[in-house]
Amino acid sequence: MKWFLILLAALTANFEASAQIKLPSGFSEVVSLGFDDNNITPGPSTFLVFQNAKGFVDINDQFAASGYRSFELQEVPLDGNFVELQRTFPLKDSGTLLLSFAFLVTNPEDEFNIALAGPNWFILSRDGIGFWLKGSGGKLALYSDSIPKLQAKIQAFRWYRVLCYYHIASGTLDFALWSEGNTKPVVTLNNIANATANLNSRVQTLSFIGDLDDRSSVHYFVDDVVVAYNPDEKITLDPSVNVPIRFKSPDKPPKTAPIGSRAAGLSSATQQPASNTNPNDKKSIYFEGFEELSTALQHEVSCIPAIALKDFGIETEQIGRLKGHGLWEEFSKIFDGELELRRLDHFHGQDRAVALSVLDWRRGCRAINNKLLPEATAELDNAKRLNPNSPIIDAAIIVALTLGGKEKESELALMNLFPRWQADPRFTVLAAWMTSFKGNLSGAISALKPRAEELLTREIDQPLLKKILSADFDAQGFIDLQRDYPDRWRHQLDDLLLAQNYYYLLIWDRQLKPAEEFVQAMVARYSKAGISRAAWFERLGDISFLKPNLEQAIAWYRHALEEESTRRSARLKLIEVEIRLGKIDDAARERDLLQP
Amino acid sequence: MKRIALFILLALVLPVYLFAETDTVLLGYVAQGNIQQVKTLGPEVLPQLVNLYKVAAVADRAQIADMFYGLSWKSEEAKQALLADINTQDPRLRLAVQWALGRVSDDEEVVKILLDKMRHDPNPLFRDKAACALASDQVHLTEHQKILLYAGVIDALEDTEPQVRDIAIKVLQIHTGQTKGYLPNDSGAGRAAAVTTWREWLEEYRKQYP
Repeated sequence: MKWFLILLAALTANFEASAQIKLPSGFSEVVSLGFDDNNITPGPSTFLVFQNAKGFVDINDQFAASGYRSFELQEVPLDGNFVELQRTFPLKDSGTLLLSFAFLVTNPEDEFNIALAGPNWFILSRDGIGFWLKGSGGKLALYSDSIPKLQAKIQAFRWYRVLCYYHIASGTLDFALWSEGNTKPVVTLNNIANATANLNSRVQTLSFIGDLDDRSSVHYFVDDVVVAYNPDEKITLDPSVNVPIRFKSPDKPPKTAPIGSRAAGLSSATQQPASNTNPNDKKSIYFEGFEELSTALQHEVSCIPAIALKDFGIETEQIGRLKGHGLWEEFSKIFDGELELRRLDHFHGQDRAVALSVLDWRRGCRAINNKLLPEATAELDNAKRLNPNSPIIDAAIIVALTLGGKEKESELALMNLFPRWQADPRFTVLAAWMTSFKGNLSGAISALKPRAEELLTREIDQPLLKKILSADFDAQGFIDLQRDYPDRWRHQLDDLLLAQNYYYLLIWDRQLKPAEEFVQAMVARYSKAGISRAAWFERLGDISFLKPNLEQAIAWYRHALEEESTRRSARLKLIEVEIRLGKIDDAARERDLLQP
Repeated sequence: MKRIALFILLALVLPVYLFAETDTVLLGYVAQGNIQQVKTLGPEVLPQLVNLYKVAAVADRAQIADMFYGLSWKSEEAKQALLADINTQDPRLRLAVQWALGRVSDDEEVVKILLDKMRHDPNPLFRDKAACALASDQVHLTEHQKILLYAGVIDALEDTEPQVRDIAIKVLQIHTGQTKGYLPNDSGAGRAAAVTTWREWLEEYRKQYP
């Protein structure tokens, strides 16, 4: 068997945050990947992500076994490569290695593979593959004595936890598998042969991939990865005791932390029926993540956190080019501040500009934290000049402008950001925060209420409103608006900004009934004018979710999708609610309809 | 130069009416040995590739067989076309065909033919390369079909020809990472004990996939 390793990318998020593990006695941590810490650092160079031309890997805030995020792998068939999350660690040639992780698959009919390997890499031999778990055809198989032994069926959108003790000298392993919603393991094996029944098969690399034969389109998530070491060869896994991590939603928002380190705030999907669950006890994907970020911003102003490379306008092509020149590892050090400035000489053109922009952004955000606005503005303006296509730099500039009382400039910047970021929950957080910045929440709502009520009675200029609400409306459109309506340009934007902000302020303040009434009125307003009501139907779904009334939420999200079938945010929320209600088949069907 | 010759030869030999636009493009890619470009045409191009194979000269068929190998797309027509050359004595073509068969097919017939070649072909090179194909190139097999392959290879551990025993254990070692103590030149009793172990292993495998 061949495992093709092609380095194309390394993620920027710091994976080294704790996976909330409590290790069994005698074990010391070797690897811990929780994916939740939002500090923009790539971690040590031994952590690698392999991304082929068409599949992708990314930090994901839609599903998490614990905490807020997980790692997402999407495989694409017939593209000549595979996606991979790989972690190396110091070679272990004796004792017992503990391996624990959680995984969730959206399409378990497709193949994925998880393995531990040694210096001979990913072949079946001594010092090659020692542990191999394979999912395919809706079943999970564990290789033992070179035989893929079937262990369990796997369901879509369900988290599973694996705990394995890999005994190096004896060539054996202990294995346990938990399924979300079950406290006892569904599989327990002790003292079985390792993947190839080879004694003394050393290990040093952990890998999560799609398939080997380039035919899979598997889409799966990995979380809470832990590797630990115990020199005792004879220690045995006891599944009643040795559970490093339980399935757990976060109890509270993440702690305030330095630059870009606030998580968007998300939680695990659950399949427990709504009758046994109060959704308010578990956090949703977009909604309360938005809420947590909003709450965090209200308490301490900082930059909107970056959570993906594309926040800095870094796309696959650039990553591939840097990889091709052997520069990616060096480049990725900018995200943790480890890159020496003199090493920047290795980069040229756009690569150099992006690298410098990230450094300037970090300095700018630090200055915002320290309330040094002139310094923040200077750094962020420089970042913008170097990297004009970075939404996260633009967002930081908006924060700085707002703090500096530059209302008109911040509104212009927001308009410029809107077409690129309107579907991102962080944009609505930013917009709503701007509105409430000058006063308290109640004050902001009181100030907006009469204008919001007046908006509902206004006549609609349908062509203009369609243009403002379209994805093409940008800074130039904003400037044209100011030119064409010199006295009333703000007035024309009320449907876009005022209505949305008023709604989100009501939600922040948990005034669900007034929020619902307002949204219903906006739906009626747009019905009369023949304008798409999708965004407002989706908000009715959000309100229903918070009430909670999940069936009603599903109905509203479906209404939104009837108006705009490509409305991704509505479909993702629909999937989450269907999962919560145990409608897994429905969720799977919706998942297949998701646009990339 | 050989590739250009292929291109010219095929262009002269094939009737004009066979030349659709895609054929011309494909012909160019094949002449260049440009598998990456062939991939961009998608599996729909396989029938045309098979047609090219059938009319090409021996040396050029080997090149096209290599292309089938690299593409690894299942095709019954490609399998049949390649099987027509399974007994060729041209070394280049024979090896290319043996390697490519498992890449275009998950048919048990292919496994059986390769097992037969591994054990009974009079040419040791062809036996050896049939074993290579069994070890590395049966990429579409299901678990049940793999069991069939393993059964045939385990039987070969008892072959009277030392070379066959040697390549058989290599096939198993590549597939499993194990030899289970089998040494091809061991005493008869030693080999028999290891073969027993292998058969027990195979039974365990069969239980997993009844």
